[in-house]
Amino acid sequence: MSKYVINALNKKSKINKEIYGHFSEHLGRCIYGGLFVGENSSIPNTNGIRNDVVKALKQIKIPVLRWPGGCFADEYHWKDGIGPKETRKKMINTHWGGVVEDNSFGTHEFMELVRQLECEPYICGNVGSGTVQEMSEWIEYINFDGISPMAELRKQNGHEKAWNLKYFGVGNENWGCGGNMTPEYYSNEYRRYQTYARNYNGKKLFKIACGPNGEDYNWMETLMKNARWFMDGISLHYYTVPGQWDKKGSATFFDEEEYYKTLKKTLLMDDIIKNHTKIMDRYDKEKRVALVVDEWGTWYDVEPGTNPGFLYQQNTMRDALVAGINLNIFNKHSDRVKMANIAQLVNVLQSVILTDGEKMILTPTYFVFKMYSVHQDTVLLDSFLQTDMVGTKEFNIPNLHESASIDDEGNINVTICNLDLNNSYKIESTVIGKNIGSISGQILSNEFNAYNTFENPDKVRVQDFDDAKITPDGFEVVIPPHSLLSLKLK
Amino acid sequence: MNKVYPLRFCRKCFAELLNIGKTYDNIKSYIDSMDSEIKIEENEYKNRLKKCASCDKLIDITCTLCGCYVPVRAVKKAMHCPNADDRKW
Repeated sequence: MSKYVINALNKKSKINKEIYGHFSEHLGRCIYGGLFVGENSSIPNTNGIRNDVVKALKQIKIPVLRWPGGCFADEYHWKDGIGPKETRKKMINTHWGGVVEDNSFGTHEFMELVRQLECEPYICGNVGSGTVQEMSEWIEYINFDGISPMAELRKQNGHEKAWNLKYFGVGNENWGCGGNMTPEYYSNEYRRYQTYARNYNGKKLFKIACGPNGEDYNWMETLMKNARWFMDGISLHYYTVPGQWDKKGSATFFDEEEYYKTLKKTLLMDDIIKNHTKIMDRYDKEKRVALVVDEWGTWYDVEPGTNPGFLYQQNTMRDALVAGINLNIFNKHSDRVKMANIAQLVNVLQSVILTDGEKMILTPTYFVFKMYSVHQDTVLLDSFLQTDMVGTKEFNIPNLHESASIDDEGNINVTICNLDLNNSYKIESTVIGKNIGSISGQILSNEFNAYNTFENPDKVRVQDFDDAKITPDGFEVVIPPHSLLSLKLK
Repeated sequence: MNKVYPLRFCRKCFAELLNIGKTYDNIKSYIDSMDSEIKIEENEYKNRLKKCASCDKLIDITCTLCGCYVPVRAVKKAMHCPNADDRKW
């Protein structure tokens, strides 16, 4: 039995809905085929964007979408992707399987996508191979409603009114594919580029600097020291890779040892955020600068028989638990983490959706985002769950993982992961500061390596859960092995 | 790969690790290892590959509509051409 204490009297930080954000890059079949099929496709679409995918994403309340990259952002020249489609530049994407990028999905199409999804756009600009002028003009093109060359160009291209872009990234992974810069050099470049990333129509742009990869604390230190006054947020990328980069491991064929190894590696996110937060706190104790975890998730070897450049991987209950753990971690650090974007939305890395032609399936990770969507724009509660260590000698991890929040109506939302492969656990909860009138829930549970396929799309599905019992102090519940549970206490 | 700063490893570093020359051998051995129950009959397989070979969605041996290596996708009985607008097979 594990004791679980939730203190509704100790309200902590707001859980920004943007923590449940996503990322879409011009890579593999994320944009082309996954999101965008063109107006003339026989696949049902609205202005070229797949209706089935939009409908599914609205059901998980997608709050924000990052685009166009990733590494692609630092080679993307936005003017290639506007104007009549027949005149847009075509080029070979040499890094990702040699596919032709015909620029048929550009700024207008992306803003149409986020309009349909009813989510915030988050655009990443080109520092690595672009110019200050190019970046500055892109923001002017998107956000300026007055008289200017870029506003006129937008109108000529059929969009009279400015869009309202809030989130803007000044470069991506500039320590690597975005220019192989040193942190000192990028700090200066960031300061220069962001100077011309202007506010328009009285709305303030939320500027996000390129932050570190994983445990690169020197990068964070240097950026915070040299450029913190000029940023609203700084990014962090950390992927869960079970093996090594040249042999990462299979998405679907793994044993118990590899399961625990994967979860242990994903739990490292907590330490990484804590350590970066310590550095940030030294320079910004008011926590004005947000930590934006705009690339995270699992990264395995691609599915056998697919081009490695497309980064197409399947997605099992192990991925669901990776997602559940990370989202709990982000909730717990919501005083500093204000946005996170899992990589990537469709058909690339840890996707919530996979497509094959006209077919679409939802992955286990999709259902985690659906279950956890109750935390969006709520307030984190103080909570503690008693845990034991499980796993193997080398890869031992806590058996349970949780977070709790309270919404505007006073309902408490709890999300708990049982990471143990073999045992279910009885959880006995004490809830302070709230009388529970009713309790309802949802559960995601299946074999630890179960996944959905185009032949069997409904193997892993979220189900209603009615087995939690109200007690004089709170509630009692038994959570099965390798499963995720969400509870609403009214 | 960034050898000076191993923490600074990006997706393009990963792309450099790919050994395309080895890919062809891997594909052949992967197909050989498949259960014959799931494979299509030899003549039909050749027929599918012929259609793929003349398709403008093919780059090298990759179908850009699905990201699959064509010899692998085409060998599976349950698979079909991923082009919803113009099925080749």
